[in-house]
Amino acid sequence: MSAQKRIPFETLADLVDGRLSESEAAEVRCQLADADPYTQTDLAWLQALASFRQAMPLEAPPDRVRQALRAYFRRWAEERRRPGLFQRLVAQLAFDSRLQPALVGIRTGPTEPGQLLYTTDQMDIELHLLPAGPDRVRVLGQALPRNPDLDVTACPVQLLAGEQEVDLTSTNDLGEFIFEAIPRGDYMLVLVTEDGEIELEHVDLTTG
Amino acid sequence: MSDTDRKLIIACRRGDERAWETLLDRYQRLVFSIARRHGLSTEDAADVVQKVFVILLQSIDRLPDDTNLGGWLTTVARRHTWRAFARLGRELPGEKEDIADSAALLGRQSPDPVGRWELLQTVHDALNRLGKRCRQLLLALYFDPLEPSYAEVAGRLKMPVGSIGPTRARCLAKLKALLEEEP
Repeated sequence: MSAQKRIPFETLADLVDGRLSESEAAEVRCQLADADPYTQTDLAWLQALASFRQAMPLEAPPDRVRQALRAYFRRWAEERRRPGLFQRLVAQLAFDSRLQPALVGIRTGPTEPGQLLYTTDQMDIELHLLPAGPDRVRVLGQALPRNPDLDVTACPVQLLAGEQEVDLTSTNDLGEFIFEAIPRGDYMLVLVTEDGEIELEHVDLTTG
Repeated sequence: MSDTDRKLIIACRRGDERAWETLLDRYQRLVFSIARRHGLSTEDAADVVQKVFVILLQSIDRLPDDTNLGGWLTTVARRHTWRAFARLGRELPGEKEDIADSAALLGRQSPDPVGRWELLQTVHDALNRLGKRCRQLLLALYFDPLEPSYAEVAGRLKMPVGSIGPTRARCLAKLKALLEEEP
């Protein structure tokens, strides 16, 4: 049995990229039958890269984006944190029913619902937490703008654990949103409106 | 946050425009690609890119040192892409979570597919870790939708045409090694 051969990486790249003539490609394909495992792995990798770039090309945005961001940075650097049309607000926790003193003789447990209220200058965000099976919570939320002209329909609401997205939903025409069966834990919630983002830090999703 | 990203963020906080340009070089493709791969037009995706980097600047003082900047930008891009769809009165298209051959691309034994956005970010991060020359070459040869010829790429990068093939192979091998390093 002849020893398995190693086909050079560059040759494999040429094959996958379609840069070989028909006869050259045929010869390489013939050699692949006797090629060693490293060659097979290299070929699989190159083919996977080819699939990836077909499915997910990394395009550059139009030049105008770079120009706009360059100009924005200059203004930002000059005025540092000048309030702009687009704002990022951090909401404050104003009420948490789970922190209220228990009535004498009544104990709350992990199966009791919880209610949270977060506030900013622009709006309040209510969260109702309901048990949804062992160690899971159902979150019913509602965005309540102070200015009735602020449209909170179809606002994305993103639930994050650290920097990882856990779930993504959007509000209905009443500003309501739902997250189903979220594992108990500490999360961040971000609501996107036309004018900016509202961040709820350290949302403790436990009931009771 | 990688050491390079951390230094860039610190420099941006000081108003260093070159650091900002470098950050845009490193990440604007990732953000744009996320918006485009969800199905937004070039113009709408461009708007998402602008918004995401504006948010980055507004958040820059609060970014912890251990932030994965690529992951942070991906997360913000996703919600603003969703917002763009809502504004257009369109539904976000359903997503296929896995990319075929993702395990082979990352040199993993497990056949479990990797989520498409995680894979995009991983490949993008690995490209960022290549040297500037390799990054420019591979982006031009493999990720430019206009598919420039070797001659065009050689002219753009000021390289002899005959060196494109061997250099490409070396850069691909480096990219492969970096992707296989990823946890």
